[in-house]
Amino acid sequence: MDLGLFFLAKIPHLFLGHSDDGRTIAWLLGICGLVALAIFGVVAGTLIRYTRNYAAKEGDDATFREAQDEGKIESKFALLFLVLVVALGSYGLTVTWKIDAVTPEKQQQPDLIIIGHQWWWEIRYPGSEAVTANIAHIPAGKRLLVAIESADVVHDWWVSGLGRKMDAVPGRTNYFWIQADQPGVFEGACNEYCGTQHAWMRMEVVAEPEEQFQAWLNSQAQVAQSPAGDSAKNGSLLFSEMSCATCHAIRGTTSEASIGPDLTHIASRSKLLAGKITYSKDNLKAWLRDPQAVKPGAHMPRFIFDEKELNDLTDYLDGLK
Amino acid sequence: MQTHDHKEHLLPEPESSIPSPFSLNGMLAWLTTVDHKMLGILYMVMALGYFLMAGLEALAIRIQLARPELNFVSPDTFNQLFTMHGTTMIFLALMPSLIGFATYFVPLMIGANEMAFPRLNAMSFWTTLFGGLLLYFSPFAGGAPDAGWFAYAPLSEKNYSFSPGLDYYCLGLMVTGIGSIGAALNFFVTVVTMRTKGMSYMRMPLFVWMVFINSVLMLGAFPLLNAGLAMLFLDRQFGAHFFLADQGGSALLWQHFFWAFGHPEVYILILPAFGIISEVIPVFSRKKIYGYPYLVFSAIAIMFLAFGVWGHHMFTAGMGHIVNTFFGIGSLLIAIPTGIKVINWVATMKGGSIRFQVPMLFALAFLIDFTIGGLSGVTFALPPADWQLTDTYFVVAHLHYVFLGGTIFAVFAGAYYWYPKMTGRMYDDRLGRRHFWLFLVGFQMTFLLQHVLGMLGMPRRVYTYPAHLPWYGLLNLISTCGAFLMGAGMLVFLWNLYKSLTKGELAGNDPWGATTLEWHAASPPNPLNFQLLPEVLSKDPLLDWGKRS
Repeated sequence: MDLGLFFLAKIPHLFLGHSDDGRTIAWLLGICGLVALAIFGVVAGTLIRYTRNYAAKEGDDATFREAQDEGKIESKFALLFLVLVVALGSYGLTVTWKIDAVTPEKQQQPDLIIIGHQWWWEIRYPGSEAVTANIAHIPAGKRLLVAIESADVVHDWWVSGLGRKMDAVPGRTNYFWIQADQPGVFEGACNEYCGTQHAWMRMEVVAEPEEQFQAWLNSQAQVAQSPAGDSAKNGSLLFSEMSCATCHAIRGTTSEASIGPDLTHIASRSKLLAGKITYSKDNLKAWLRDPQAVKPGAHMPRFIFDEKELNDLTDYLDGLK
Repeated sequence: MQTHDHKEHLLPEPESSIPSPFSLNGMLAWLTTVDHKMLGILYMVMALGYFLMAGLEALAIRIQLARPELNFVSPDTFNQLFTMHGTTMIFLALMPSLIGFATYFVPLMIGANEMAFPRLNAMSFWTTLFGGLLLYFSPFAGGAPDAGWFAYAPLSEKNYSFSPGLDYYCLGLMVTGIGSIGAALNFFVTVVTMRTKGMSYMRMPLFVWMVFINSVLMLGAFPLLNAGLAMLFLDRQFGAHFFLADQGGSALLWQHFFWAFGHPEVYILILPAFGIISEVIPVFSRKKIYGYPYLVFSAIAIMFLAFGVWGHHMFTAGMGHIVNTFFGIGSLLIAIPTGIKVINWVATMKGGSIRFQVPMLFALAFLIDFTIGGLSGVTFALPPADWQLTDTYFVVAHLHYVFLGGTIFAVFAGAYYWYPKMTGRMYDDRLGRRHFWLFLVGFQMTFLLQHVLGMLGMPRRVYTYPAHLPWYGLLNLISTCGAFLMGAGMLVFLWNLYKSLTKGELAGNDPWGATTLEWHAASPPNPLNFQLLPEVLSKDPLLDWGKRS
């Protein structure tokens, strides 16, 4: 049953699970929350009752009253707490063991490799040439093993409802499962503070029906389209002449670096800069004109292009569907 | 011996000494003092100063987050602000305020005239102060630290944080850490060796017990922090690579060092607050504390467990099943002794005659806030719940319920409770109540809804958030308004502190009818606390002596 129904189902929140794992965690959270609310109710209720019943009255003397029956209720409550701790603990740990990716599965080929960078996500699909950034497409209805790594500092991948959150720790590979039962777009954000633009290190997971996903994967695996038109051709020359190619790859050309996002199919993405801007030619141009004005602190340098160069480059990149 | 034979003088002598830096209360006296009461006040004044500083930083943070995609401060400034806010609050406001109360009251409460090591006491204070100043020099040296208060490597390494801010962070915290270790050692030895006749361990006031247990925690935890800081400093300045994975180091090693210190630190910040609450509730309920031995032994249990739970800060780091299970169980267990404490405080009020003076109001708010903070904390002990909630605003809400709603409310309770003892005058009751209500309402407005923000998925430490996300803007705006109410409450508090110093009613030795030894001393206590003390016969010595006379 979907716990999300009890709450506002329209907006994304923690109790909305989109997969078995997501719902399992949501139920755990819900039950934890109810137990916590119940305990809080008892404590707060008792406090209110006592402050009313035992408030000083006219004529009360100030002598100290002796404590009554010390030690009796402590042991009862200690036992109650122990029972609660054992119950919640065994429930929580069962869930832990159920949804965490364990050692034998790590020998399995991951379905996705996610690499955290300051401040964007690199997404690779083992067995395919496809590389994308910030927007991960997945087939709906399949439980996928994800390997997560970091290229620089600690990041954390979290798309609530699809699975757990997992840190990208430099020098390590961590594994976790994600799954979306139904097609849809799910938003998430980097959850481990990672520097200047931590706020704009957001991601989307696009879950699609299997055929649609395969089609997308095949198109992303293609090399880049060759530039059409003079302006785009100039742009492609500029791309390899200027230092663009020291960081970015465009498959099918001589640009092969993997420091910045792979741009082979940049024009097929709906958002750029890890959620900071939506994709449009104007936004792309503004970014190329002055990256620091669009996303301060980003590692993209300002190249001081003139207007023609900007137009050429934008035309070229906009053709990379 | 000086004689006062006026006939020998040509000019009349003034009755009291003229103001001078060398007089009893002049500047030089404060700079050179080794008296535990003056040092206690210095600690508290310092803590107040840093608290105001961190509060201003918090207000700047809240303004930036009031609406989506604001540009009140730049991203880099924002990151420095929240780093300094957290670091200042933990190391320079919360700890020194608690250490200040302990420095002032532990000797008084056990019937001693001084701490065991008065000079070490002074050294501890001055190193803490200068460590803090070192940290606050960083903005003038090129930039404040910007990697968060727990400075995760490798973000805190030179490759990713170029400004000298984190070098100042390492050095400043090492220096304050030395001060904290000195203070802890001093409390421990004072309690073991300086108790007056008849003051056996099980007759000590609970505040003394909590400080005593706390000193063990501090002695265990701070060397871990200082070791980690030394390694980070070596990495940054001398090209070592303790925490650089690409050179054979380990990023997780820093997390282990930091949280092996950091989780005991959480209890370091709350145990003395427990102590204050355990003093205030019985006095204002006119009822003896319920379950004294349980309060003592549960705190000892917390002390031991505190060293075995740090991994719950790292459930998302990929430590594996076995490790997660171990730390999950450890963290859950700590809920049992903590729960028992709440039961004891509530049970103390039963059958009493409760007087709702300002210290009691703060203590009651503490009980509510700490219960909320404790319960939200239990969810972090379950790895799967932690995988959803950690590093969201739910954590921000949780930790502020524990540290602000918990520790700071207890500090305010203690400040009002002991103000008459420290100054000899009563605070202004009306202003005290205004402070309480402003602060309480402001606090709930700021942080209650942050639980919801966390559940909606807002990550912590973001300088802004996208405008299209539902509810984010409204909830953040309410939160910001609450922060300003707390700010207003603080102004009332400051005015009360200042005004009551000269205008307050004279308090007398024991205005609350309390039973512990500090109320036997004069208000404010003489430089020599006690001339002669009768033997202590129970944990309420003033009651026994009152009956006898």
